[in-house]
Parts: sequence; C-alpha cells; structure tokens
Amino acid sequence: MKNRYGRKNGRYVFPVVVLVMLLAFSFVFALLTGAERISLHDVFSSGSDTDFSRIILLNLRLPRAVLAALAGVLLAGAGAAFQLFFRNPLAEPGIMGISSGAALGAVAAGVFSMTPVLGGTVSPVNAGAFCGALAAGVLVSALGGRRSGPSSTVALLLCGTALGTLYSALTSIILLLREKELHAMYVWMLGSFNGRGWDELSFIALPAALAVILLLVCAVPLDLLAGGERTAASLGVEVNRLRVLVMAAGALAVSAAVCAGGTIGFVGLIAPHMVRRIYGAKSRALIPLSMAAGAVLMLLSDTLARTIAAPAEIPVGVITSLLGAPFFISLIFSDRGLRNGY
Amino acid sequence: MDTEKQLHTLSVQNVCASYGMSVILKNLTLSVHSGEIVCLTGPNGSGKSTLLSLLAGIVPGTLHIDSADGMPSFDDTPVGSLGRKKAALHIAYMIQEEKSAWNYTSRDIILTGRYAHTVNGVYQQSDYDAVDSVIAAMGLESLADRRIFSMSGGETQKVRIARALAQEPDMLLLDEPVANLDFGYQAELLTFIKKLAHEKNFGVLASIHDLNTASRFADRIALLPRGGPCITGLAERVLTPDNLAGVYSTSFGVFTHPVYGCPQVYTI
Repeated sequence: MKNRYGRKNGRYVFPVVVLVMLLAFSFVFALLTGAERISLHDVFSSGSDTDFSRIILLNLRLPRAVLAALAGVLLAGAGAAFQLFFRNPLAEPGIMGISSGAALGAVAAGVFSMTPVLGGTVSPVNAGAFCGALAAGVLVSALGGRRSGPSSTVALLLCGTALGTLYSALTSIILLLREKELHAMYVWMLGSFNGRGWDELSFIALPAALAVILLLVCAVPLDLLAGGERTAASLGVEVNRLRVLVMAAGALAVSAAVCAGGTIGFVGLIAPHMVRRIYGAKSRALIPLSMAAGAVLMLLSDTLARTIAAPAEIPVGVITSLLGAPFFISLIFSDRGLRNGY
Repeated sequence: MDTEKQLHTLSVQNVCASYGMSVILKNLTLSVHSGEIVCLTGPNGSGKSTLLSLLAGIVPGTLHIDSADGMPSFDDTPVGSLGRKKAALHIAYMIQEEKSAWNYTSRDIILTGRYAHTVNGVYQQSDYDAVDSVIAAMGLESLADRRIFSMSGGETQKVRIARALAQEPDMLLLDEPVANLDFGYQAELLTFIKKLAHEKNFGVLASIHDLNTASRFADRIALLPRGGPCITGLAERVLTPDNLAGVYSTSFGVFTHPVYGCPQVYTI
C-alpha cells in the first residue's frame, strides 16, 4: 500500500540537504576568511609564503572552525533536548545552572591557577569550565532525582535555577576579591574561540562524541513527551530513565561546549526554534536538524567575530546575541513562523 | 498462532489506595477480559481516574497503595514488572486531559502510538501502514495533516483515541473518551470502538460519566461509589434505583430504552 509517508519523508530530504550545504559553505567560509586572507591556491602550492598560509589554516583556522561547529552542535542539541524534555520553549542549555557552574569552575580555576588533573595542555580556565559544568550537572541531577514522577521534573528545574543563582553569586564574590582578573574573566564569560586549538579539541572529543550519541538516542522518546510524562509512560517510555539520559547528555554537551568556547548564549535557545519555525515542528527530526543549524550559526558568528574588527576580536557570544535576537524576533512574527509555530 | 482465541485479563484484587489521608480506593476488585467493554462510572472523586492509571501501571508518585497484593496484573503478571515498553504493547491508556507542548501534525502524534512496536524507536513501514489504517477506519483523513494547535477539543480527542488504537493493545483504558465530543460523534465513536473490540478481541475499560451512554454501550458496568467496593455486572443488575441512590445520594428512576432495550436512568 502506498501511503503518504513516502512523500512526507521526501519532504525531510530537502531541509537536510539545504542544511548540509549551508554547513559546508559556512565551514569553508570560516577557513578562508580572517585577518589573513587565504586562497585555496596558496594552500595547495609550495613556497615559503604559502607555508605561512598553510600553518594558519591547519593550526589556527581548522581546529577553531571544528571547535566552533562542535560547540554549535552541542549547545543546539542540548537546547533542543531540554526544550523537549521540559516541554518548555524557553528551555536552553543554561537552564539547569550548568552554564553558571561552568563559569564558576572557570573563574575558580583561572583565579587560583588550579590546574586540574585532567587539564594537561588545555588552559586551566577551560578545563575548570569543563569540570564546573559537569559537577553542576551531576549535582542538579542528584538533587532533582530525589523525587520521582512528574513532580521531579519541576523539582529539577527549580533546583537548577536556584543552584545557577548560587554559582553566579560565588563567581561574583571570587571576581570581586580578585579584581585583576575581572576583565579577563568577563571576556571569557562572553564566550570566544580565540586561542583555542587542537588541544581543546582532543580534550573534549570524547565527552562531545558521547553527548551527541546520547542526544540522538533520546530523540525519539523525547518526541513522545509532547503530551506529558504520563502519556509518554503509557506509550512505552521509561520517563525516569529518559530523565537521567537527558541530564547526562546535557551536562556532557554543555561541559564540552564551554570548554571549547566559554559560555556562549542564545545559540542553544534559538537553533531549535529556527528549525521549528522554518520547517515546522519536526518531532523526531528536531534534535539532528537543530544540531546542524547550531553549527551553521556558530561558524558564521565566529567568522564574523574574527573579521568584523580584525585584527581585534569581538567575543562570539556578543555576535550570537546581537544578530540572533533580531533574527529570532523576525521569525516569530513571520507568516511562515505563525503557520508552523504556535 | 491464532491471536483471536487468546483471552487476556487485566485485574486488581482488593486494592486500597490513598492520597495522604484521603482514601480513594477501598477493597476494590475489578477485572476486564478480552473482547468486552466495561464502562466505569461513579460520582466525582470516586477514584475512576486513579483506578485507570493504576491498571495502566502508571501510579502517581503521591498515591499510596496500602496492600501488597493490590497491584494490578495482566494475565497473572504484575503490570509494574513488565517495563513500560512491554506494558504499552499490551495496555493502551488515554489520560483524561492532555495538552501537546508542540504543534505536531495529527499523523505524527498518532504515529507515536507505534513506539512500543519499534526496535529502538525506528518506525517501520508496517507502523506507517498501521497509522494509515487507523486514520481510515476512524474517518480522520481530513485531520491527518493538520496541526494539533488548530484543532478543537473534540478533534484533539479523536486524534488521541486514534493514537491509543494505533498501539494495537490487548487492553484499552480510556479516561473520559467521549467527554469532549458531540452526541452524534459520541455514539459513532463508541459504536466503532465496541465493534473493533469484538473484532480484534481487545478489552476496553472506559470511564464515562453519563450513565445512559454507559448503559447503552457497555457489556458490563462498574459502578464505583466513593470509598467502597465497586458494583459490577450487567447494566440491568447494576443500574437499579437502589444502587444509584446509594452511590449518588439522589433518587433515580429507571426505564427501558425503547430501541436498544438497555436500562436508562433519570433523576427525580
């Protein structure tokens, strides 16, 4: 029997192709633009001048572009998963206090020059951010997990918000006591991929891969949560297990992302909404599509951050918010958004 | 294996349950068998919804079950030990009210009923076909590609019932399935569910407030008083003026439906 899903699935192909093309374009664009113009011709020919280009490309631009894309994937994926899990369009990766935990970890590690055991060649600030985010994720899950049933999701949200405020307060105290680092830490908190490279990438590769796999595994059962936890349970979802998976995935994703680029706001919130507004509420395709959209957003924002005031850099978090907010608002009020959204 | 011949039973024995200090269910025994429609009826707060969620194995966190043997069982297996996915293969449960958080299409929502049949959540062609046949059987073609936020309460209700039927369960638990529907569709839907239950040999337990509707469609009635054991049996035995007066604290009269021959009640 020929059914309508053949056509339906066909409609999924188009957005995927467009997104993949956009992703490839923004990746190449990120590699070739910057303070130093690089042409593909230089990279593949030989000579002392082109060696310089090649070094820039391979040691600076390539790892940075991969990091930016990865951070976009992780933040947008975690944002989509949190929105689906909490059934709340306002949910974003920072909602559980994980970003604030990352900032606290980064500030503590940077100011007291703690070099975590895990750190290795990664700067203590970035390694501290990773550990802080992970610790915050574990703590909030442990607290929220003390309740069971639907009320535990609310408890989780409230605990996360309260803990986030607590971390921010602690961060402020440390920064006030150590005024010298205030500026540097403030800039870090705005988020930037400046100076990050292969070291950071190899540091976060494992947690990032784990987070992506977990997020994709959660995609289908999260879809069933649309009607609430009791309905999801009646359809065959182990809601308590899903809660643990989502929290683990979110904590890992945000930890890896903050290690890569600091606490970059907004991408995790808007990428899933962009996908919804443009393609319609796509249920189980939302998480993978959001990941691709997040990567595109982050790559373009970072390229802009590097070039707009070259050779100086603007924090990428500023760009994502500055350009993201108006675009987001225009999507909300567009006809297409109204038709597909709510 | 001939599935038509299989007889399943979903039951609770002597269950007592309470929310904090208030006792909801007391010494309640009820069983539903394959191929029959049992209508659960009773006054507000008598525990109809609690009983249904208990039978589905989805016990609210704050509900306290007093007796260890009070847990529901499906063919002598405790529902709680089945695991959600396995339980969803046997028991479909539609809660009373549900609001979708996202603006999905009806078809996507009905498809989620197939989750229990999938391996790792990958929907197969057979799942899409099952959804299409439910949509066709319920006459929902015009709703199928519409988004849920643009639908009325009744239309949403039909989509939710379609999702439960797409689960192809052995037991169908419906909490107020016709509460949002107009009279015409109420009768149409209940006739459809009854026919399907007899055809596909699944059991139905549906809570229905309207005694006359319950009487017309039920194979058996379960009348649930506040805090007491429930009165089950044929409509003629259960819907008597004495029983009703005891349960609802109002006087009732009973007459026979001129067309269907089932008892109909009126308050005095």
